[in-house]
Amino acid sequence: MKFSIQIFLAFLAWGVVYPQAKLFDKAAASLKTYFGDSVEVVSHVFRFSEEEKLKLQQVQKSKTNIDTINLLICTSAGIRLGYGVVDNVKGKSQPISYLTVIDTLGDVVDVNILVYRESHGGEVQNESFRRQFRGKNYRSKIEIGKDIKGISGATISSRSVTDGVKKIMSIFEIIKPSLSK
Amino acid sequence: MLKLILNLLTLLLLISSNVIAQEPTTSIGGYGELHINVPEGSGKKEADFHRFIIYLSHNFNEKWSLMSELEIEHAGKEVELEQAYLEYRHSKAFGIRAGVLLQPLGIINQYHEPPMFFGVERPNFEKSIIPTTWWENGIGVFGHITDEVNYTAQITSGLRADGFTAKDGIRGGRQKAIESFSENPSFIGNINYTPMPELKIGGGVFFGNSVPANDKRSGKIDADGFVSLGVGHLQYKLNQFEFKAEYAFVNIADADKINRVYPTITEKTVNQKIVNISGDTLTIPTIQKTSTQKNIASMMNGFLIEGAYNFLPCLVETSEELWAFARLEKYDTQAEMPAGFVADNKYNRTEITFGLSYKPVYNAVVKADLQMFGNEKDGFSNNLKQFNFGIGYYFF
Repeated sequence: MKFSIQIFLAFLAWGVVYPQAKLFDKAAASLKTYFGDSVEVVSHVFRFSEEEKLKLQQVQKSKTNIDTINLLICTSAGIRLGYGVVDNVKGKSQPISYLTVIDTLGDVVDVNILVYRESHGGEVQNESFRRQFRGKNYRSKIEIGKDIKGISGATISSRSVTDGVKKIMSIFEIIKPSLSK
Repeated sequence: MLKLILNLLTLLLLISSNVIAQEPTTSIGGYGELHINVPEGSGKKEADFHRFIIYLSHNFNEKWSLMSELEIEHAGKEVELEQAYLEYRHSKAFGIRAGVLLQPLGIINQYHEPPMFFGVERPNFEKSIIPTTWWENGIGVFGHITDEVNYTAQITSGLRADGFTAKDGIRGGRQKAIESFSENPSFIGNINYTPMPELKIGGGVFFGNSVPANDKRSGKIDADGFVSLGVGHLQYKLNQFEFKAEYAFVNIADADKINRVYPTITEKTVNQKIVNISGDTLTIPTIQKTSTQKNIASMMNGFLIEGAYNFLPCLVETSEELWAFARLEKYDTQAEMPAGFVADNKYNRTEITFGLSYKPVYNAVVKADLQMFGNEKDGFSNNLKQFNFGIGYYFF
């Protein structure tokens, strides 16, 4: 009886951890394509200071409850090359997991869709859409119909990802000073 | 020993749990629209909470999910289950789903959240030809062939020939997944090509027999009523400009036999005057059914073109949107008639709609438009006009 409970628990743990580990692996593999195979990717939970939280609320014009952000720090031979941020935004019915790759200056290197779960609107994965984010930073508009072309017939997912990247860039700008320390 | 290993394994897995989380998630969403229709002349002026929809979806894990869409129409008069399917995503190239599926035909049939189309009412061309919104029980596969090309192919229950009409073609033949006949499965295929974010080109087909097999067995009708439908569409979007075009045709084999076997039943509410025992005259509304011979066509077709421009950014610096749009629809549900039947020209229709869509946020909309209806028989000189007002929203 007890034994079966343990098997169940082990399965449960595997079920919960396995997809998470896979997402990290995917992100790390993606980061290697930008920073080279020798890059070391370390997952670091960055905790916001009170001051940073306040700034974040001002920027996002809302009471945000974000305390931490999970940064993937990329280094090679002791030199920091850039960062990756994995986040989920909502598609029509399923979350879209995407990676924002940022260089040390705070410019977007690329945006990559790690997992797209919906059967419609998968065009956000296309390079022709994603490349529009390259070189953007917190000063950029990052808005559909302004500096980002939305996808015809994939309005929801293209808007979600665009809003997501804008959010990540405003968060990154706030924590950037703390990162170089 | 095994116990110890398992304990360690459990512990190890729990500790190693990374912060990047993708746990099972349940999400709720929906959309709704209120319409006010004011026809010119003696037509009925109407305010209707036309649709209130709830989406409920669950993501079991990376591969398995459930999606459902429950629709309450006309403030509770009709309840419809438009989507309810279990989906398995094997890879980007291949997935499979089963349940109540939307037919991947045309633009509005798949994307009908009110802020995502112009005009208060959905285009009549799509209602009468495609016929939108069309959903059935079935099983389907989907995926991306390349980054730019995606596909859907499904087998669903087919159409019922007894519901076909001269006015709306195959629309009345939809079984809507309600205790549907599974004896005449139909094939539906769709391909979309997105060479660049601004442009999407798509096409779909439907093939299937449409006479309920039980009727065929009983010897009532000796025909398969094979229906073939084709639709092609193009959507172009650049900055504040949007354009779309769509063409569709429907071919019905054995239209003559269907016309001879199944009558068209029309229901009309009439006020019947009855004198009761006390001598008072009472007016009782009763439903009067009339049966007339069907006059369905063997070929129906039509198209729409629409252009829209968001001119608010030209005037002020804002993220709100104000779109002006114009749409032309031409569709004929009597394009070609079977031998022995004559086309009714009043179903060769032309409609022009123009109006405004104001979006304070991207997923809420206030709409106003003017529609002008004309047809081959009465022309446009003796046309009918209708003003429409509406509000709509969606959220996910």
